[in-house]
Amino acid sequence: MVNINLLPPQIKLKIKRNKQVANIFSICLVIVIGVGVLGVIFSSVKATLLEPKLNSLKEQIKEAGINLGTFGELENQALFLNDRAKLASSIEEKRPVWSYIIQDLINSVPQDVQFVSLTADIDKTPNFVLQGNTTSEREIIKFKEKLENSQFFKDVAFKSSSTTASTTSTEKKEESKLSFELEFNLENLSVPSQENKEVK
Amino acid sequence: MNRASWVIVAITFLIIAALGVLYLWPVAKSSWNIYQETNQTKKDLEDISKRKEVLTELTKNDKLSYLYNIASTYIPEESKSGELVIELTAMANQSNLKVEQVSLEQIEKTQKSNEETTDKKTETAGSSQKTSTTNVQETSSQEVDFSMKVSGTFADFLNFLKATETSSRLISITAMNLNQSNDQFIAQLNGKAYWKKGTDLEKNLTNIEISKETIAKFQNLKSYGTPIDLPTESGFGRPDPFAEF
Repeated sequence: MVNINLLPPQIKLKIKRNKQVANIFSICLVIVIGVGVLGVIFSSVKATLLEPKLNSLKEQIKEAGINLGTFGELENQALFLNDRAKLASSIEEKRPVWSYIIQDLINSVPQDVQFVSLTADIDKTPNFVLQGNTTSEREIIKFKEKLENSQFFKDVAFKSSSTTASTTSTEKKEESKLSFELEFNLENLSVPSQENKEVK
Repeated sequence: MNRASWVIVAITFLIIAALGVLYLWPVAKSSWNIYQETNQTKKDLEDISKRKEVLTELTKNDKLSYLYNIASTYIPEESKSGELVIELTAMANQSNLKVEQVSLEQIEKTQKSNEETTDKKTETAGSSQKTSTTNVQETSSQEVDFSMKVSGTFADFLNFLKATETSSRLISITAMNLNQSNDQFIAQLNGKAYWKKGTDLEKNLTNIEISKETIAKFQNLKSYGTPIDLPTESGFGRPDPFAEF
């Protein structure tokens, strides 16, 4: 059977347009409804999941904060201890360990050398000025070399030496003494590590 | 497309835009904010739980109060210059050295935005104490400078130096002048002790955990001399304070 559309072309065109408009309207309606549904989903997720979860967490934090309050004193003590430990470490790093430094200095003194005065100052250069007496220039240089090899001292400089006559009290005999002056600087403020010592 | 279709599309676009701007966007934005806040709150809660764990653990550490007292003596919250004098002289006496002279000079270094130096002189009851106030950025500890003259033997002086390195008050000797005169060894020392008001550290998990190094740092310090405890001291009041004691 053959269907023949006998409607006039104008009506046919109108029907076609109406169908097209209906289709577009449907599509647009679906999109608008989709957007609306999306909004409703967002709202309900926010209201039923996110907000209650956040409120519950805030409540937990509040409770935990109240509990932590009982540790206030303890917390302050711990904080104070760490603060002082940090400050002490930074000061101790810059603090010269004099007992080691002086011990190293006296370990370097030759038998025939006597100290008259020793001035040490970590803020001035040279850090050390040493005046002493000895028997010969050889002893002074020996001392200087020994200090150069020490792990604590550097830049050892021989400044002066002069012979002075002196009388020993026991034998009432005139002997000549050699007065000298050395200047040197501090290489390490603290005790050097084992590795550094081996290198030295 | 005919005109009516275009009109429908335009109206739909307007409706979607209105829905988006007036409803969807605010809801989405606040949901995102709540999500982010939730994550942050979770993190905060974890931090608090860890802090609580650490603090609960600390309550079991019976040494904490003891260490706190040692730390407050090592770098006290006030200058405590009187106790410093007692400690220095006690250290010298214990090392068999005679204290010839002790003097103090207080230098304050406080954290300020501008670097500035002011010198103040304070006259107190016949003695003059010079207070030099140096405001230096990023320095929060304050110093009490002292100078001291001791006499005795060189060996005893070495013992004294060792004592200063392990004393209960943090002391740093910056300069010394050693002399042998008339069969007597004399040492003139300049040094400083430190103090600091409060703490700089922020209250967070890292700063409340006490490491073994921190415990070790304060455990091996030695105290010299007995600090003045006024209520227990006796022998006050003299009818003629100019009379010989």
